[in-house]
Amino acid sequence: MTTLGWIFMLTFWGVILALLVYSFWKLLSE
Amino acid sequence: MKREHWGSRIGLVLAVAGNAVGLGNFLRFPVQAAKHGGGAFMIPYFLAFLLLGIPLMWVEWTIGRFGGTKGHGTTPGMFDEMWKSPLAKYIGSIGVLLPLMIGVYYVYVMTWSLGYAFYSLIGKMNFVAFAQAKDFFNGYIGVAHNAYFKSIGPAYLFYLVGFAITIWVIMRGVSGGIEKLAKIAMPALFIFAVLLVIRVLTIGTPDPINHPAWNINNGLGFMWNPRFDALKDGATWLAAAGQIFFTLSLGIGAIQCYASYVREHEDIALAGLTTASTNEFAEVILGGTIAIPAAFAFFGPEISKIAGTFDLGFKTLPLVFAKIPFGSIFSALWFLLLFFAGITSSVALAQPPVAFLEDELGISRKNAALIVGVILFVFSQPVIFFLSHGFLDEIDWWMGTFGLAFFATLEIFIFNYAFGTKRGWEELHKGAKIKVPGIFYYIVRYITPVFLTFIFLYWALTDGKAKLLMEGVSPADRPYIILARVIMALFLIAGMVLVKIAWDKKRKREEQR
Repeated sequence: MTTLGWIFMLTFWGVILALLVYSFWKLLSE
Repeated sequence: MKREHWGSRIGLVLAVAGNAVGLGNFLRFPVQAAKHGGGAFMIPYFLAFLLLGIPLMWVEWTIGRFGGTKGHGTTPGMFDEMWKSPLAKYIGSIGVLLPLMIGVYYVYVMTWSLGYAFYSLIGKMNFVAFAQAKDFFNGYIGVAHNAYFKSIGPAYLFYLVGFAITIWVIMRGVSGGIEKLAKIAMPALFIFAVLLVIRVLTIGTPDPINHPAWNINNGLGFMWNPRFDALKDGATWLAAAGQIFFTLSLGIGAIQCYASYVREHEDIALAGLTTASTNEFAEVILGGTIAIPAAFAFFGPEISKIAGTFDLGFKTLPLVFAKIPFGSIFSALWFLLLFFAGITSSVALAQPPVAFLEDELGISRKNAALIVGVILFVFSQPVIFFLSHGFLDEIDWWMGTFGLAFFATLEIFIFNYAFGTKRGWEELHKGAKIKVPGIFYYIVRYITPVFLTFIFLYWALTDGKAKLLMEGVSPADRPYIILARVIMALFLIAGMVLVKIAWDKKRKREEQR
């Protein structure tokens, strides 16, 4: 995988994981 | 009649995520991404998520909860409450027709994975060549009779099991059936997927002497290395928007139905975001890391020739599993994962017609589930036995592609311009602890409707004409295609007649008061 491939993969994984963690954290803390 | 409610917030989110996470997350997404630019595909994909997916998800949650508080679990009643036009309830009937008709074939297709899980475990799928995997698939679905399968009997047996589970869950109700299923199936699905991801990421280089470049690193590269030239092709942008639309189960009528069972002050803005992000996690992170990278490590760039959604999951991956230690166990895990993804979507498709019979015609839940069960069973038969004649594909295109885009387009206009965006925005935030960024107000009002109209017109004008005129369909298959169309038309008319009967009854009851 190229460096750009890694950047793309990790960026989109990061965004989705951040959304997931934020939403579940909010959901369980309400 | 007192309506049911979800038992817990986490159960609700798992159930709606179960509705969204389906076979497409693991089979369709990786093929689309690899075909349309790899990592570059994620740019239009994510844009479509922001401009189409998430806004429409919030709109459908809002419509659903609003309808539920008025005693309606399906879109005929919801649209009627939102838009004081006699047309509204008839347009809404499409939101009952679509899940019912999609359910007719989806219940059958998702049980293929149950059958495959069984055959994996008993060691009947140790293929060494693609031709064997192809023969096995064609034999299983009854397109051919061969050494693997003499008849469609085994597939039919697994269909009966999957169908019976679907109806049994629906009969047990929203919190006693659907929610309990989601609480078991969704964690199991995620555990299986994570185990498979770990196994795939540790595949390494299966054949270092002959094919040193066929390894897991390059497999991930095949999936993620951006090819920016693909962005110049309009097909990439449409494929991305289509994938977002399908993966989030939008425009069907199922999300609205599930949302109608939330309590009045439930935080639907957060619940919508949570289900969308759970779906994306399952699709991009898990779905994107299993099938394509594993297939690449064993077969190299040849896998780019894989065309159909089922070719990757049902033909190529069994070959991969046949080559690794304890492959039959991982193969069974893969197909059970698909089955869990499928069964939670099946019940979501069966619930709207059940809710319609309950809420609008006053039929008890058990009887409604039985009626829907009989309809699903009877009309599944031509799907099963006329599969090779294009019967399933015909229904899938009109209901699962054209129908969804058509219905979602009407829905977003009713939401914005009949119900009112401002009123909808206030409804979305009722009981919400999170505040949706204000920009989404304008996206919902102006961008999503244009986006949806464009997609609908594109599909209708390009594929629609060829479909309508049966281009490329052999004369022998035409009667089957016509039969599929007659059935769809009869369902559409029957749905509208039932809506009229229900509303006439209601009017008479109100006049007697």
